[in-house]
Amino acid sequence: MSRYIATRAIRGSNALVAEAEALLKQAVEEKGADTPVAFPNTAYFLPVTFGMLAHEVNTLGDLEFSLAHAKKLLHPLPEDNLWVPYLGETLDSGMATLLAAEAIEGVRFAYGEEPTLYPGLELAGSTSYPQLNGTGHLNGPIDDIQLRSWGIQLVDGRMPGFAALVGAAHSNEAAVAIVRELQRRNILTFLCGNTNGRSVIDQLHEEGVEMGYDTYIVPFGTDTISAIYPLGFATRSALTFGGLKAGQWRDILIYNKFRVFAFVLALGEVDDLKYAAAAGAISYGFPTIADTVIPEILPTGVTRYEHVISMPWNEIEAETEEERAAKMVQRAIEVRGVKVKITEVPVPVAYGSAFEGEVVRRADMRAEFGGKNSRAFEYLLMAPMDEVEDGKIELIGPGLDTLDEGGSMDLALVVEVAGRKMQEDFEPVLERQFHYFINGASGIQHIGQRDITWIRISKAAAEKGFDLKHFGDILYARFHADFGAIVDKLQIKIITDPDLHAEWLAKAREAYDFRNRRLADLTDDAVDTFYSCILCQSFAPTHVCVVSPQRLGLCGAYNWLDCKASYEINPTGPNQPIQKGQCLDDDKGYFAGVNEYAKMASQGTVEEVTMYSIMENPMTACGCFECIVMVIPEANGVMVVSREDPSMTPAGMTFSTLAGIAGGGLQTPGIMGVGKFYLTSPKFVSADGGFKRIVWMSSFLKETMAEEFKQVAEREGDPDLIAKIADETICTDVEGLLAYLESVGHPALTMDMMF
Amino acid sequence: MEKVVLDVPTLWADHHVLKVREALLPLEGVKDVYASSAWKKVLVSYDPGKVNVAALEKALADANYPVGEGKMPMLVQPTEKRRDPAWAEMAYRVTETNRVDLEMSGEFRRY
Ligand code: SF4
Repeated sequence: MSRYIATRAIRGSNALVAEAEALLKQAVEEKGADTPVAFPNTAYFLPVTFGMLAHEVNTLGDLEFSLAHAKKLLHPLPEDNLWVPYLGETLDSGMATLLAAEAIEGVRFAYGEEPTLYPGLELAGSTSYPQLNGTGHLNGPIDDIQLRSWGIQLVDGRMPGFAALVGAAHSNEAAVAIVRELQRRNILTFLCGNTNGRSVIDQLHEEGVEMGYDTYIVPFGTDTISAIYPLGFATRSALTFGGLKAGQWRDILIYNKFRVFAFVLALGEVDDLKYAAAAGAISYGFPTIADTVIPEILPTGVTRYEHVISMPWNEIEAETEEERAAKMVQRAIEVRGVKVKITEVPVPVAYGSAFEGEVVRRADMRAEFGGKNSRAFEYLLMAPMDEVEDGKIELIGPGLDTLDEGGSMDLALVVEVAGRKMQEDFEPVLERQFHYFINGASGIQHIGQRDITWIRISKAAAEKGFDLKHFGDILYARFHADFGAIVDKLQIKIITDPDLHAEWLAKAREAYDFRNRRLADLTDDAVDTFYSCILCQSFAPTHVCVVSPQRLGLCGAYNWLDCKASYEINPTGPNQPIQKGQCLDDDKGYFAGVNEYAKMASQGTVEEVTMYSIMENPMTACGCFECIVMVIPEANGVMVVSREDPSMTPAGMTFSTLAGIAGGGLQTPGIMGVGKFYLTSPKFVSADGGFKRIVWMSSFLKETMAEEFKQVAEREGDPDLIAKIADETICTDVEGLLAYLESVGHPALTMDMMF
Repeated sequence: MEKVVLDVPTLWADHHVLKVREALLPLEGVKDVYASSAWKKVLVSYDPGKVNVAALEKALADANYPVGEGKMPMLVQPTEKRRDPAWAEMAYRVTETNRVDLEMSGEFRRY
């Protein structure tokens, strides 16, 4: 252990706790101890404090307890003559620093000083602050909505972890290079701190790098205190997905060490507070890699490998900043022990799922395919082995060069796939991947699917040499890498020729139609096998999703066909077939095989599970559900809250609070987490009355799924049903809800009693 | 153009850096500021015709960062008998490795 680091971390923590105390004292005097303190949209209060101490901070006064505890963790400076191991002291200091930093952010929120304003900055997705009326700002803490929506990617390994960049890089070029390296590996990038007033946030902003949730780059704040937010995110991962309870500090830290792959890159000079905060990160098992000369802590122990590494930027042997960045990031990944698989995609632009959320605006657009002025479609079909020449990519028709800047033209992406294990049922599963694969290229935007595909190529991408043929290269590389088990060969036609386009479009539409009918026929009764999904067990150890044709996984990412394909790809993977076995109760959906499987896979936590009831043995939930369904007894119906909806609900709780009840892999009758497309299924809580039971629903769902719900309403024989369902713009309490239901004559009021 | 290095003991973290720069940069005649929280020093480049060191020091003092004064607060001081508050509070020190640690520690513990 380095005495130098110990000394500075201990000193930094003492100073920060003292500063926090002074600040709090002043705040209590000025505003009163009852002044509310809250981070936006979270059920975890101040998350580090809540996770470590099980202490709920709601007011300024509540912070006194946090700081009193922080003080207990402080230590005197190491003496000159008595040398001890210091590790324990350093870690204690780290934790004290985190508690103090979180308290300071809490006070700043009480004063309205958070999030930090940053005029001119437009984030591509962020925590919402309606009170700022659109003024540019940094993100502040990540809200629970985003935590959950990233959840599934963190679980299935698409997103290996996060890197917290603290300070400012050597140059703007270096900053961009480091971030691009991280993006290429789909590692979330969190930004905070400054060096001499300049932050890596300023550097990226100046270089025009888009920041926000959608691009996986989140700017938290311009000082090191805001580095508490990434650790709050880590703490909440353990609480949300790991099923841990507040106060289990030891388990939360160990959970992070083994499951959350994060590290800190300290950019620029390291001061006492940065050492102290790094000590806090080390408690979580997150190592620090600095780009300056600092002492190192090499032996392993609290972190998996080294704790602190110094990698002076100028001494990294490399020709360019990009190479230097690549080496640094690579080293960080090794030190943290993250396994990252990168598929090399031979295109002239950067590639990685971090670019999936990128938007290409009209003004930046080189060309577009689909949308208003042209038609683009994509079609993947199975073909006999001998008719497919692996790797053949043809461009049939005029190329990009024939198009004026900003022009548009018809485009078809036709992929023919052959494979011994390929089945016709997998065609739509694979075809849906086009969206993710193509979107992964920087400067390319892909929206929609089938014959409503809409693709844009940006000027920047075209200047770097991106051409239509590259769509083929992307699809070829990714299908082989990701679906090699079922795809042996594939050939790709990129069609712009009008006649051929029309010809294939007709074929494709016939296939879409066929698939639709197949899907409609695909009912729970028509199959004898369901599939399990235990992907989330890496986070929620007792949770099992039972996925049937009419009930998809609660994260919305896996339906029955996906699971079937996934089983073919990886027969020992997370999706296993479940023989339904004897049907014990048709109505509620009890099946002998399902019960048996659930009991086994949940390690005995779940004895029985129903497929179609919320009242009796409902399915468990991990943390990544798209919506929560909960019974409102007074209204004799259920409400559906989407995770995008921050407002209050008639149950007297917001989504975040409800999520705490619904998640964790336990069965709670009356509440369950579901995927939003399950709402449209004829089997949606069919044992309890089905869709007509819905008395309240987040307006977000009503808007985004308007078409689907219209059809459901017709199926239920009440075309006006959707309008009879209340939402948060109509009421957020039970009295208001009942009044509304009465006024519109909602069917739930006259249905059988739920209890 | 002249340069001066000022000691600011209370400049120990980067949120102080922001405050110190805010205090100095608006002064007429101040060309550049390098505020280092690692060294607790500020390097100011200024035009001596427009501003002098006394004015710089006053601006810093007004912003609660007096030159050469104050120090980092240490809430815990070593005492003769009790060197360490946490150990003292627990009254004993655990020297055994926790079972959970052993189970979860992985390859590196198998020396
Ligand atoms: S289907 Fe269920 S277990 Fe599988 S990833 Fe989605 S939420 Fe997790």
